[in-house]
Amino acid sequence: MWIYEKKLQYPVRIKTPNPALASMIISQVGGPDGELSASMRYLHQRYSMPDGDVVGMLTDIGSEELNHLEMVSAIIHQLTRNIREDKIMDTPFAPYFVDHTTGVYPVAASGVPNDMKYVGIKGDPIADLNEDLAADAAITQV
Amino acid sequence: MGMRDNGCGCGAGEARRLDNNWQRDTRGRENGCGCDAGEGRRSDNWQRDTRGRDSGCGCGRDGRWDRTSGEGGCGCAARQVRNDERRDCPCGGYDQPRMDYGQECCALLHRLQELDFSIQETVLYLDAYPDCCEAKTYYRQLVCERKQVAEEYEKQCGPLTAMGNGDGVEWKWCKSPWPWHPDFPGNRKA
Repeated sequence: MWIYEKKLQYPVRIKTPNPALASMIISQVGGPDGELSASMRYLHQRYSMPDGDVVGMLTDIGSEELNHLEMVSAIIHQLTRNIREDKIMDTPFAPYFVDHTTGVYPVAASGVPNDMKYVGIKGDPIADLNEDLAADAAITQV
Repeated sequence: MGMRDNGCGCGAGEARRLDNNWQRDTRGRENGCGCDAGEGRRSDNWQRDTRGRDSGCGCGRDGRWDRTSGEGGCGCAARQVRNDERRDCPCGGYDQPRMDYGQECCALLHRLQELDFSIQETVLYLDAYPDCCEAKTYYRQLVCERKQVAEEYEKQCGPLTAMGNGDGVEWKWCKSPWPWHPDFPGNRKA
């Protein structure tokens, strides 16, 4: 089970709102290589791992990804605070704003909502751990 | 006129305020208070920062939303706000209660975050190398300090989990700012 601690893993201090930047960083929330997909991947793979140490590792990493999810969501929240509608309309943030205003919606920068298709769960330790290697390599491209 | 719907008391006249911020009928004034709109601003009601001129009224007050004092967010008017009344004040807007976390809270939280990060990393290492005595010793030292710092933080600043914050009259779990808010300890430059 999970317990929530009311703090961020690391502080988030955004001084100046920047909706255009938010429209790109949102991929780290809900994109294919974002924190939501990462946490779902690790947390779901752990059920079929034969070794308790691996289960522990996946549990701890998956839970940490949720921490990261919260931090990036905090970034989006602070980037879009107190913004004026007329300052948004000419930025790439406009389409997102139409459907979500300044809410934090797990979506990719391309506009594709987060999808469990980004996550591979085969129930086989070798396949699943290789999926994790690929996912982590993909992150370096973000 | 007695009650002004928007609560500014600025002299708004017939300004009308509807529930959903995006449907606000401002009767020609961006913010509906009619104070002298100036840089009227509409933003997500939940995130409106009422400090300074952010409210956009141009009322001239340093708007601050403080639930307990009974002031509206814009500070434009004396109108008393009930503590349980959720307000979408067009002059100031609704915002989370500002709690002035002092240096103490920021320092405690900072130390807690440092310790928790070290613990997190050590835990991951021990998941892979469970027999490493050095790591286990380091882990125990970290956890020991962590317990003390967390206890101190909860005593002074607010609860960390929902699993034990019954002290005081207020249900602090909800009343203190949430971690993504700029007012949360450590999020504003002290």
